[in-house]
Amino acid sequence: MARAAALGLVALGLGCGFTASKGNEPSGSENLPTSGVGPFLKQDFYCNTQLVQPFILTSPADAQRGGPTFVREPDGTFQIWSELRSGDGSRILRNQLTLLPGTQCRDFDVSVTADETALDAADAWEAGAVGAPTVLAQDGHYRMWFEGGRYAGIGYAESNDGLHWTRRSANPVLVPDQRWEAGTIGSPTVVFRDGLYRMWYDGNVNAARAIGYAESSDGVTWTKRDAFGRSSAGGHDDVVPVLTADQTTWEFFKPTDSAGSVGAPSVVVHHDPLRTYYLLYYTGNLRGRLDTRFDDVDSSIGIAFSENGLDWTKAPNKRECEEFECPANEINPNVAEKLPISLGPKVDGSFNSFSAFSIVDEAEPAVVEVPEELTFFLLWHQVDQINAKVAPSLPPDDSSLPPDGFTGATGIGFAFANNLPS
Amino acid sequence: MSQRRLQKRDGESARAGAAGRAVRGHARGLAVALGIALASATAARANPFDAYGVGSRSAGMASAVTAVVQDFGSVYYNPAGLAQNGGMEASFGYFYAPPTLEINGKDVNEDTTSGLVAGFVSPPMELPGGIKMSGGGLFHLPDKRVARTLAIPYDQPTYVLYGARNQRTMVMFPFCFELAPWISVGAGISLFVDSSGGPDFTLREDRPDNEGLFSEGTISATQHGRFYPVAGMLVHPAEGFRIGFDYRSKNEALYEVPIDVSIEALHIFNIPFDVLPESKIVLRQQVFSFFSPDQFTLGTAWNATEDLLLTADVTYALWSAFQQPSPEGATTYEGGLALLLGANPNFGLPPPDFHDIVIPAAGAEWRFHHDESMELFLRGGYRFRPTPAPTPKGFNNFADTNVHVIALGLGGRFPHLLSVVRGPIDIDVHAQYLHLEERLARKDNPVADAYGDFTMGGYVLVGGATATLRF
Repeated sequence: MARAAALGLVALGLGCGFTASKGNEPSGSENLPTSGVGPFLKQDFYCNTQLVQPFILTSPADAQRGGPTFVREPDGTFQIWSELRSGDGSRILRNQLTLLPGTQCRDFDVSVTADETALDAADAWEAGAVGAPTVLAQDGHYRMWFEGGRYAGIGYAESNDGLHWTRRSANPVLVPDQRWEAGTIGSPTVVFRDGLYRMWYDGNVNAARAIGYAESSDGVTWTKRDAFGRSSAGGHDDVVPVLTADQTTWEFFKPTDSAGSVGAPSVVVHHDPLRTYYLLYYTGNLRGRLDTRFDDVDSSIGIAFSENGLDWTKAPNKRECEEFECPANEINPNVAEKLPISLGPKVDGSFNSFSAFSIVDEAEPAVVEVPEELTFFLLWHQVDQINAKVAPSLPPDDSSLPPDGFTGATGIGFAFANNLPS
Repeated sequence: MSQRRLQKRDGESARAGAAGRAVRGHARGLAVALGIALASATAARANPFDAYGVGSRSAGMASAVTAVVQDFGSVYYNPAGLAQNGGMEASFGYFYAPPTLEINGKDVNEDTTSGLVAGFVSPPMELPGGIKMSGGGLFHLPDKRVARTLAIPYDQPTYVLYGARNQRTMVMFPFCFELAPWISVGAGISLFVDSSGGPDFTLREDRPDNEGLFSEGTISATQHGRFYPVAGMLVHPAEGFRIGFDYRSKNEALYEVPIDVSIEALHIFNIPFDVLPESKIVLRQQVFSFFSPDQFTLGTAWNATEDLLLTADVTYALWSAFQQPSPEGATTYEGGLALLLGANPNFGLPPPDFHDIVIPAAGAEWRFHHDESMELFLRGGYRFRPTPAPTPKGFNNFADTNVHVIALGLGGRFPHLLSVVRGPIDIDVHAQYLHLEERLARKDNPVADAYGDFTMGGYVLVGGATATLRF
């Protein structure tokens, strides 16, 4: 008996040794966390064109679409609100988006409903223009803060379905009253945390645009605060912004300028096992693009973090670092490389190409985190002189060449980031 | 602008994807070349034995055996122990070590380490002066592949001491001399192979005597055999008391992939000068793998009773010599391309900044039954391996924590089990539980890398069996 057991044991060992399966080649790369940095992979909805076409929403030739915001519904679909600007006016549109399995050159396909007007300018202070919405879903209701009157102030509205909105009579709920704002504020983003609505917005839009902070217990009455303990309560006007431009290589129109601009913020409350903090996605060089093909400064999206919403630390920009002080991979954009917005590999394994002479503006980000899937979704306002000619006029995956002479369109791009193995 | 953007995007997508797509910057050509080089790795040593032990008797005592080992495990733990063996014996066994290693409480699916372990001890040979000489050999063959190394991006959280890094073939050959009944010394080598090589080719434009652009080139590869020493000493200062000392040399494999692309001068139409003078692109990529540190171990053993053996070891491991294991490379331009494109900035990877550690271990072996037909042993041990890795700060995200190893073993010696062998047969089994303490990686700036803060920890379960035949 003992002899048989011994032989069996040895045979088992040898058998295991020679027959173990290779399996799926695990590499220790699954379920890795993501800090929200990305890289965000633009999805290409026009596979047969050489350039990446990330547009899920576009606009007519005489209009511009921008300022997106979105929420993820419990069923996994998204409601998207965006601004359609035409002439001196603008309104807020609503679309619903459903993610579908990717095909051809992309990880996700999308189904997007037709445009529906969610909010049109109505009040006198709005001066015919509402836009740059941010929407918070709470307890089955939706709360929207929006920009009115071309940076004249920020209004507030409520809805039960995301499409039909009721304004508050107190509008505008936030007006430019601090010296640094120079009479202009807009582009709000709001989160609710620890019993307070917390808003980040941009101001001084015609010069050194920067990002300020305000908080409210009801979403209607706001108090502006800064990192130095100052507050707007009591009529003070010396509150300063919480984020200003200082990464000269991409937040400045030209690195040699005396001031740059940061604005159009989107804030996410991010929970990791050690702490909860805010992630701020913002646009650098909002003064706009310039055809400086070899000087190449245009607007891009950056990221910063803060534990209290007032003291912010930006992701590093390598050109302002010494060796080893910053990671080898640059995070915040510079003139040549626009992290966290990047082109990713296509599903079929090939790589998207790009044009060296395409001036690509990425601006006005909106981010939603889906923690259980370790995923961040990103919408943004994209202007691409070449891409814009293609996307609005072609059905997806049309194999024909893009028509010449199509100009003036902008769109909302779609990207995602996670660290799951593909 | 375009060239730099393309390179960057390749790198980013690699970071976002699986580790196999992780070679930074120079994309597929280099990855393929690197893969060819890595595939030529043939022999190595140390890591799986450092992590999980050699043979069921030693592993069942948490590897606290430097002063008592005398079977084929002597080859690794202390070559001087070979002198304690009186005859020819051959051992073979198998172990299986599936890890459950977590980041933020989620299993990252590290690879299982498993495979065959075999060895032999030769009978002692009498030399002039009363000196006895013994020899041996130790082999480990993973059951999935000869060796595996992964090119992981430097900032990806990675359990750098476990998983695929322990999949490697190992070959060791020592010799031992018993100088006197109370002292033995041993020494040996472990075999290692470095690999280097890559393509050199030339791009040539359309010329009157050629048709179209073409390239020509060669591929070369070189393997450099390396031998790393091991040495040990065993002393019997008193009855029932032994002291052992062992040294295992640092070893690592370096894989280099140099690629030189020569570009002949470029002409356009009949312009009487070179539009682009003769140029060269020089790419250098390298990766260190299979690192094991210099280790010095002092062990003691005491026969507390006729049936109870107690052991203790302490190891000093010089992990400060650990080198960046992620692929690192540089691309430079020479000639006309240097004039056209300017200097190509090559940023080095940050050093891993590991530190030396002291590893204590203790073991016990109790013979709880013996008669003419068999002896039965119960074994146990504990080993504490502090982490040599610094707290991740984002520049590197090496995941490693303090490790507590709890070991159990059961063994039997059967003098009459098989008539075809002359001596007793040992059959041993063992199990280990490696507990990786939870450790926190809190970053000064969590958006300075793609992973942010994280926690790490987990466990590895190890099981194995060994049979030893004596002739």
